Amino acid sequence: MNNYKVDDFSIDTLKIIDVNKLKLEKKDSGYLFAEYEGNKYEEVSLTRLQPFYCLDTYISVAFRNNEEEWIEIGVIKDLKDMSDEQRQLCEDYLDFRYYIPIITKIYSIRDNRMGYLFVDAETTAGRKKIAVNDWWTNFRLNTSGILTVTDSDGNKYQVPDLNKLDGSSNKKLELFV
Amino acid sequence: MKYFDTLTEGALKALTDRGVDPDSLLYCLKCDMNGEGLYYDTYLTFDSKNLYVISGYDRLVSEKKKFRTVFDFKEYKEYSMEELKELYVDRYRHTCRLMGKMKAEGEDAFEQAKKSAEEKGEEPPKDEDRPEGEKVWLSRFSSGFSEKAEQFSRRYNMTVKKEEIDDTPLAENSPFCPKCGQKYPDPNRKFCPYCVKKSSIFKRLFGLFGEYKAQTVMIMFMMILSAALSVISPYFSTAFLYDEVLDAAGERYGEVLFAIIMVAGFLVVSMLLQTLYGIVFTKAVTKVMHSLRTKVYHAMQHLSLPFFTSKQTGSLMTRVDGDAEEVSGFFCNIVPYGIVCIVKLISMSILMFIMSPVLASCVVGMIVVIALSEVWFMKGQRRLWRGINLSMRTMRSNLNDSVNGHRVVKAFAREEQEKSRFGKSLGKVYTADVACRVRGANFEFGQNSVFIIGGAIMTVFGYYLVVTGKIGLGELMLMTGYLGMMMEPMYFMIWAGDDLSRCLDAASRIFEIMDSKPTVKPPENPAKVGAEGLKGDIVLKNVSFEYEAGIAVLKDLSMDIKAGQFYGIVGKTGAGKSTLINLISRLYDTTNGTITIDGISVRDIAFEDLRRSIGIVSQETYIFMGTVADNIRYARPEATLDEVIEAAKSANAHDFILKLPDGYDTVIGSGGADLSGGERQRISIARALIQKPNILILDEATASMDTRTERKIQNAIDNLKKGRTVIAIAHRLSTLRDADMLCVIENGEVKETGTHDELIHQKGKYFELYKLQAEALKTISMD
Repeated sequence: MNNYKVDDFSIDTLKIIDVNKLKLEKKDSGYLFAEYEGNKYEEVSLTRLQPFYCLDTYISVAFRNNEEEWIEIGVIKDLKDMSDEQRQLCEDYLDFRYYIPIITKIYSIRDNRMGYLFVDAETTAGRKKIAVNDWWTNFRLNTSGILTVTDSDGNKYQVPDLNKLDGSSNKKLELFV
Repeated sequence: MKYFDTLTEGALKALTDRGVDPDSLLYCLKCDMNGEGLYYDTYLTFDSKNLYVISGYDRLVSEKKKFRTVFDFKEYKEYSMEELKELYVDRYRHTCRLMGKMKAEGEDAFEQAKKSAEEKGEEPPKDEDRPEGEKVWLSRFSSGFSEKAEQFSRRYNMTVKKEEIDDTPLAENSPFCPKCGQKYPDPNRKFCPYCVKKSSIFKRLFGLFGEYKAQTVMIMFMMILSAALSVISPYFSTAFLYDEVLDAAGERYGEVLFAIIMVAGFLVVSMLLQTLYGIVFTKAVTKVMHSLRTKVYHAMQHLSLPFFTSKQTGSLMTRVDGDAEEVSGFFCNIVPYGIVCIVKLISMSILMFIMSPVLASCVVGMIVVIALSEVWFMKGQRRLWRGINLSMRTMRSNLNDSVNGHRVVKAFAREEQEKSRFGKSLGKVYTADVACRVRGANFEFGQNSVFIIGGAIMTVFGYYLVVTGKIGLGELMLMTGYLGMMMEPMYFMIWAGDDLSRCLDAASRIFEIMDSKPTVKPPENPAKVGAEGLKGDIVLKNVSFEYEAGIAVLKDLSMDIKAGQFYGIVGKTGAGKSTLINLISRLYDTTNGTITIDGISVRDIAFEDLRRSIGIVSQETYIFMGTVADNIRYARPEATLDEVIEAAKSANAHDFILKLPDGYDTVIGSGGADLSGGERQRISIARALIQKPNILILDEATASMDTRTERKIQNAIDNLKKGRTVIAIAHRLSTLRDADMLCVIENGEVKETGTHDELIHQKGKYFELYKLQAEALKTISMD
């Protein structure tokens, strides 16, 4: 736990982290420990400010205070400014934090017309039959062509680039995106 | 072991092989991922002493045409409860980890020091200084498993602390289908799509048939009569006229007038029948639709608030309106018209086969070819229609966005950007529409060509049969006519599948509402409450509440509100203040803990008694379509005009109502006169006051008002306080200046309780807030 206090009434500004002064360390439990400008932070999390568009830039660094609130320490503008070892650590953490099964092939989409779609797909996590309720809401294609599918349990799957899917999978998907 | 997952046979064996007694296991959780993010089956289960973690792969194998699950064992770990003190869920973006906190070195010493300090009356060591144990990673899972994992962790932690576990809420509000064990897609609605079969919906739909039997039979009778006429009438204008009347060999040779009377008679009867059918059909459809809409709407009114908050309003309105219309089509169109079509197709085929089996085979053959091509066409066309539908929906969303947000668009001068955005979505509609229409036109051309060429060949062949004397000219003409007439029922049969599916889809949604059970159930044996209602002694004891499992909005909160007290609740946005009000008025049930009013649990008070005793003025004011007077007397329609005006005066609404064009008769709400936020809020206060409740809850009731109006209403509320319990939530502390008791809530917990003076003296959270607001006022006065 940290005893670091912040002034609740100060005006928030964008604090860019000087990566040369930041030292991150990964614990066995998977949590990050940080040291920055003489302060030590026991439990730190990294968050992509634009998870779809900026994978290695604009990474927010926050710590959990005694009241279980996440307080931002600052923002790393670009991971490439960090040392190789620190950058690798950040990339590994972010990969883990944002892990989402990627759909690589679609075997079939069965629209049973009971408000549910059943997508039999191959994902990077393994083959999965995905039940999607209300496909209009749960098949989300953003402006950069990333398709996010949310199943009825709330689990998410992604197709990062529809054009990279094989023709047959694309044909099955085109009815829904 | 009843909750939450079941160990597969293989996993159970792997555990028993390691000396675990399966009968001693309490709960089980299945996780679906390994550290690398690959699907992997991990079972966590515990008894009163240890936590067991067993991992591997569940595989389905087929043996003698039967499937069974085999568990490929990979890993096993065991943790003693003495060492593993706590489980918790660590959430990431799309996955979670189940973590464990190990016992820290020096933890026992800390506890001992705390205990002895408490015994001696000394200051105990601070919780912040408690030594922290090592955190261990137990398993990883997709975020959809988090709810179960939270419940599992809570039960583990309670077992470690040797606390009693009450699983009744789990049994009552289980998020899993008792039949198949799958999770309900929406925990607020006990509807399992995996257990619903199309055939069962079909059966149930027919169950409804009984109610609309008269209408359906009536329509069917008219349709069959009309079909019989349409099959018979061509006979008089073709076979009868040519072969019997105009042919010298005919039995009615020369009776032209009779033939004309028959043809004209059939035409007139057919027209009369069509008109009659139109009337019967319209009446029947209206009646069936009215009845279905009423049923769905009534079913909806019995459901609890979570049902409405979890569903989009548009979707609910579609159910009452669109789905009811779709289902009514089943009784008024699909069933009667389907039967008529079958009868028509069969009767025409029989007649044709009687006249000329050879020619009839040609006609049926052609119909089959056209039908098959239509089926092929429809398959592709459905994709294109879906494309149009999708692009139309996007286009409508864009349109909706820019029209509703026109103020912002204009304020930022982004008209050109909006034009381009809308243009792009419109372009997609255009492309999809053109593709669909071009394909349709091409197919129609092909189909017409087949029909014309096929028809021509058939006619030539028919003339050959006429010349060779195998059939009469009239019979040939009748059969050519039947060829055209058979197309209509054939198209219906092709489309019927789609219509039926849409209807079953709509019916399943309607049944889903009818089958949904309210999550906040009325008490079976409500406690007796006198005519004067509840007095207002409200006690909250260790109340916890979660809208979403694992995310506590209120944590172990206790509060004691005395009858007749003015009780103020202060806290930041999102602290849980409004949730507290929802629980007191029982719009939701607590996750843990109890709420009593006058010593009776709110769960035992009849909804009617509870709502009659509590008047709420909430942040969200809703004005119904109707007059000002109707809106004020919404909760008590029998209130006199005197009472309405009195309530409006108390709520400081009378003056602005006078300025409205029709005073108390001015129509407000959707489509009526526009009211400002403050005016709406004043109507809402008047609505609560007219109810004369013993408990008045004001949830930011004066937030949208200017200081002068707020002051006036404050005085009105001061007047009302006499003999009433008033609970007020406010950001502006000035609103609560006269409160008998104040309570500061932060992160769902009570931080401070006391009178204004006491809390200022304490120099805690309330003092901080008070100072902040006072400083803000000072800044204004300096300016």
